[in-house]
Amino acid sequence: MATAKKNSLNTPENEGGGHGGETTAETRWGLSIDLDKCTGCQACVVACHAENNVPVVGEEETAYGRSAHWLRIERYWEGEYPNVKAKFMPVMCQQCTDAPCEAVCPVYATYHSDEGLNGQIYNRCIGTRFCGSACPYKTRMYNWFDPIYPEPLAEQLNPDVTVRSRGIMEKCTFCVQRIRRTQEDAKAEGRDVQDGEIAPACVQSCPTDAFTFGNLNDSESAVSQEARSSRAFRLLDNLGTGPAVIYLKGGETRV
Amino acid sequence: MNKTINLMGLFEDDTATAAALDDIYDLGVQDDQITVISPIPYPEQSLGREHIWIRLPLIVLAGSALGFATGFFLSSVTPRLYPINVSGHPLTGGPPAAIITYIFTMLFTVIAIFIGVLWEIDVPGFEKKFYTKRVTSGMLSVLLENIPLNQEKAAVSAMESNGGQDIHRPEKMTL
Amino acid sequence: MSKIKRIRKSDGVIVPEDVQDQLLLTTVSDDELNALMLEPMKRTGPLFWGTLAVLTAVFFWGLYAWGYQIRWGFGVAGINRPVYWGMYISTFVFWVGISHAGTMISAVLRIFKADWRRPITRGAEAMTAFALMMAGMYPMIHVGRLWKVIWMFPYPNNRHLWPNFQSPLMWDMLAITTYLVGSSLYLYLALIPDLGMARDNSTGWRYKLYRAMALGWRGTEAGWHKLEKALGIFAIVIIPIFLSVHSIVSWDFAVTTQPRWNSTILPIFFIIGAVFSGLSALATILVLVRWGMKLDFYLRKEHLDNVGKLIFVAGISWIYVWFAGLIVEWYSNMPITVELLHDEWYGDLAPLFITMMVLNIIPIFFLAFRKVRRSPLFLLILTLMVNVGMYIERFLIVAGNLMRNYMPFNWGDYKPTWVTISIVAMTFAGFILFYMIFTRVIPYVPVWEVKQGRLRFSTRQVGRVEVVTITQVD
Repeated sequence: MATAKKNSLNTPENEGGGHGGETTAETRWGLSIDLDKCTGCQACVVACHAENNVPVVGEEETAYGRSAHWLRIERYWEGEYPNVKAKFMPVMCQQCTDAPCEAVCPVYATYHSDEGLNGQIYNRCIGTRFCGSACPYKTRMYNWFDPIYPEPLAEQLNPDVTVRSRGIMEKCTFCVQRIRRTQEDAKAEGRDVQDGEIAPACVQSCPTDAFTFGNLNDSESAVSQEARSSRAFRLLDNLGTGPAVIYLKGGETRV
Repeated sequence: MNKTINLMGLFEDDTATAAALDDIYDLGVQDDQITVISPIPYPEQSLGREHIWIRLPLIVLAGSALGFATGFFLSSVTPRLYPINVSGHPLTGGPPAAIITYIFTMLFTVIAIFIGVLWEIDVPGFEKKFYTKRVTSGMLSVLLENIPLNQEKAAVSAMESNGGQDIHRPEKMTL
Repeated sequence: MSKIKRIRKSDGVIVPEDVQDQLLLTTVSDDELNALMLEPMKRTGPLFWGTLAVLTAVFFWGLYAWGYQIRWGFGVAGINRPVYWGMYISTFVFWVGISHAGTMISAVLRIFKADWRRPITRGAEAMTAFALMMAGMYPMIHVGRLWKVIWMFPYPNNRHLWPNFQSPLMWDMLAITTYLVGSSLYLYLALIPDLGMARDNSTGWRYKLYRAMALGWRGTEAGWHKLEKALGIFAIVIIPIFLSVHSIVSWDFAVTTQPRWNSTILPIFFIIGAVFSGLSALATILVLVRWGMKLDFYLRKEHLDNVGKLIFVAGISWIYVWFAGLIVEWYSNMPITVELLHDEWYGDLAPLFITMMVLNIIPIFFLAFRKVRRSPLFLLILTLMVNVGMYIERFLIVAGNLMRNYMPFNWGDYKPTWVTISIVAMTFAGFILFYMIFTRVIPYVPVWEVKQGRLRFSTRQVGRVEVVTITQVD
């Protein structure tokens, strides 16, 4: 990987900048989002809430910055009225290669997995919120209170995902429970995981297929092909965090 | 065995104390039989007795070395026993390890100074000791322990001639 | 044509006021010195007990608020995303800052053999210890799951979990522990002879307490030498600790990518700011203790004057370092940094920023004047201003800067709640409470050091004036 590291800052499928971390695995989960296709419909946000047992905190708390959306649609207005244009950008945890949030946790509640995921261990978290302060994307969500699931939401909690108590940091996991389920199913059937077989909730629910999920280290996969597109960019790439989320910009939504 | 006694004399002045100590030494009284108790520290050698005292710096250095080793172990060895990758950092990053090693060195150093000096000056020691409360009123007290009975007179006169007051055989008191 | 006032032989020898001050000590016997310290400790009026009662009430109210926060979650504390750190961390930085000047003034002045330090060292060291205790509460107040905080300690366990020594919070906890241990032991070592003195001059529960704490100290020649040697080493060791503690606190912020935090000047800025606010707090405390215990004999205007001079120096240094940071931020014109600067100058944070600058800078100008520095009332008002100003400074650094980040969609606002304010008030009440009790239980002035200091002074006539000459005794 030493040669790959040289020009790593601008090649999403490789490592970020950094001090030479030791993840050289063959799998590096990545997600690409075609901003031209995003209509800002928020289906992914709802799907994410349902899949990951993300509590709904209500209007007032959300207005005060207490929303728990692991995935949010950032909407920016461009131009002056009446010639305004809305730009939508789904933002979730960028699963950085050199994540600023990881090293600052005093108890290793967040760490870097072999598959390039930025893992969050809810049980281990003591709630210093240091990772939240360190994250430049502000995609880490804190449980300000014990979660409340108004009826009938409590009836549809996902048994594969922990319900987090108060005082714990949480964030997008790329639906790691779905990744594991698919991997285990494939293993049981004695085959490899196919490209496109794994679909996190946002990918599955997007009506315009703006999301593509897959292995960035597999040069054949759809997501790595998108990552090599001339439209590809990564959020705050200059910080050297090496995100695994690749945005594709286009004519309409110049970001 | 000769019968021995203890003797205590009080002085107002440091120079007089030094002169009295001179005379007492001339009687053949040994260093470890003489204790000077004073309300304030006097400059070294000012009472005519030089102390060679090297153990505390050694204790402190030992403490620092132990702290350095502990800090190094925690910051550079244990992360390899429990390997977890974070932020693309190496398992043991140099700069963070330097900070931890430094802090532990300092922590152990201060603890070593404290424990070392307490051990050196034999405290805590709540047993009864020869003492007089007039020390806190500004008197220097010269305490002679286990001097032969036949030297008592000479010792008393050595103190008296240098302005010693209230020369008496002291009782051990609760401290 | 101006006229020079002549001093003739017939006028006798002039003894200036400050020389009289220092000579004062030599005319007082040791017994009187002991009594001058021990008697005021027993004088506690209704004002003392009334204040104590109010502070205790505030403290327990704060404990209730803390319990409330633990029970219901951090949502009651007013922080949000992106302002993940608010008043708790600001106040934490404030207390660490206050703690700085105490041991610094004691250790640095001991090394440089500055004689005027003697009566004020213990008060300064106690300020360090209590401020650090208050600061030490914040990491616990501030974690979301207090009952899991034990996970920050390295203990072997069958789950193969270990704390992360790369986290600045670990450095922080360790550095503060080290400074607290160091400054408490330093305080206690220098206290032992005075506890012996207090033991010899007291009865009842005080006797029992002092006897236990004096550890059987007699004051033998060897004991003194060893103690002085230990204090000498301690003074040298504690200085790098004091420099590192606030650097490490600043790295909690500076190691992140947050605009305005990610800066190499932050450690220096924090250290200078800490010295500035710490010395100011020391002056405030000295004036109040001097007034409350009527310790005018020990805590003379000379001391206020000298502390005032140090505050002046620290203050102009603070302005310099602040500017050195500002010019880089302003000129490089990075969008988010400039946005944050504009927020401070014209935006929502402007009232706080302007108050901070006024409260920090005005006192510095006044402290240039000797008459002001020597006036307890003026000094009290000016140093209180600095303390409020420096509190706001910390708030702006922590909470203010977090309001803006690289993702404008996530810009936010911050409003402290009653819980936040109660808990912050708890630590202020706790500090004053413990300090007040300390002044009545422990001899506030290092009497043995003052007695030792008397050996230093004699006077000598130079022409028509009597001047102080100093003998090197320690």
